[in-house]
Amino acid sequence: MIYLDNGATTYPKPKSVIASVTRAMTEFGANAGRGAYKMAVDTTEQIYLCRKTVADFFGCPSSENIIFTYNCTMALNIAIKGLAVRGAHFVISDLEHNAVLRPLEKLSADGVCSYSIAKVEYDEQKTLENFENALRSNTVAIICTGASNVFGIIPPLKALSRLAHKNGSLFIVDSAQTAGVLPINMTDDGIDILCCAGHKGLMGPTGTGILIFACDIPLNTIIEGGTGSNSALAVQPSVLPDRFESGTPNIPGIIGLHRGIEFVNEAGAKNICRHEIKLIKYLQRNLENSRRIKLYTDFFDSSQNLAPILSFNIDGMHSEQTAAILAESGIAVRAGLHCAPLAHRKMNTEDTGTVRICPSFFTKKSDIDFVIKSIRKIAN
Amino acid sequence: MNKAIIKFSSVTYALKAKDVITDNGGKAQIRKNPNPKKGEGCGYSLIAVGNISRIISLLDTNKIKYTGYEMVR
Repeated sequence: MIYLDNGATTYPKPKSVIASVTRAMTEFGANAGRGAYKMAVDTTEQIYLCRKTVADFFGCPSSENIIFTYNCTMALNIAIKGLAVRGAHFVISDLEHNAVLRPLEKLSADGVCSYSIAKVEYDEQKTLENFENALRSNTVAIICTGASNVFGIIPPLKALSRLAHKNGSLFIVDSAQTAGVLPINMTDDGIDILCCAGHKGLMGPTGTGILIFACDIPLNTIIEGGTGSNSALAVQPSVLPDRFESGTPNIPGIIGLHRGIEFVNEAGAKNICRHEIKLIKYLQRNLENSRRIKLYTDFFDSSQNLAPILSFNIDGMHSEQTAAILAESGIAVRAGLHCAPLAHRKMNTEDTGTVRICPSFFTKKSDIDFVIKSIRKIAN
Repeated sequence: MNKAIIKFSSVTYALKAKDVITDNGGKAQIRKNPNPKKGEGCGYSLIAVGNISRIISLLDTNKIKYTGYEMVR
């Protein structure tokens, strides 16, 4: 199988990640933050070590500001619903995933808060004007993807952060597609809340996500329960990370995630991104001249700031048909709407969806050669 | 050399404190709170060995929240 669905989750995982998960299941089998016997303390320390590595990786000032969740969607829900006081308003981009859109739509339908959608354009100034026009005095946050999970379009995050802060709003980034692929430094980029998937670019196991606060932001909790701390009190502890980490965490997942981030550090996120972009450019060059193949972005146009994700369609075919034929040849890609109807509406691909190709560090040029041959065969 | 039990509201703070103390030449071992007061419930402590007033100052400097400490013999 040639796996090019790394936008959904990376595969294969580094061998060191698999080994660390096995080690976690055998050597760190106790619960974390509960007992005081040796294995419990050792397990707890493993979780703490991952917190420290995550904080360093994303330029977060404090390890206690790292909250482990089960995926990026959960991190986004905690952030959005924690901020959604009655009458609050949010501004989101027109590239957002359903992980952002659906919580806001639910809150809006319940009459709790409202949201506006701002258009991202290749012209940064126009993008900023669109967001500025959408801001209100009661806007509590701008929420923006680090890069579209369908088209790879990267919004101007630093400028949007400045805009949010000028309005007294928070800046929240959904980095599901970018963590581990594009450089992120919360302090330099002005990100107040960063939501990540652990199992994509960070190479960790599925069932891992991270919510990161630049500082202790007074969000309401949406899940309460046992934290192993202040247990005589009926109220949820207020300190981080306990406030947002109730119940047993995914310990093998977090330990695997730690090793995944170390793998990214060793390989170099810049090198990983460069490798993936090179493959995508090669793919584009070999598909763009076919009359029946429609591409939506141009990696050779310097005005387009893109993450290594390529969407395409073949004239007269639904993206699901194309993906099904590719699957018969052993090529794993994702078709349809990618849980991002806003992005498809923006690019007029709502009816057919697109076929999305996402390489990873492990993708070889020979894999892309086979994909090119297979796509051309369908198109011809 | 003195010894103290330092209590924390979160095990993450206890581990962070352990790092700071050991990085600065002290010794610290993590424990569950040995004698939780009524209404306190579960929590973690460090048995810290070294110059305790300096250790407490280090925790303050590094903004590591602790809920209290007591010297032990």
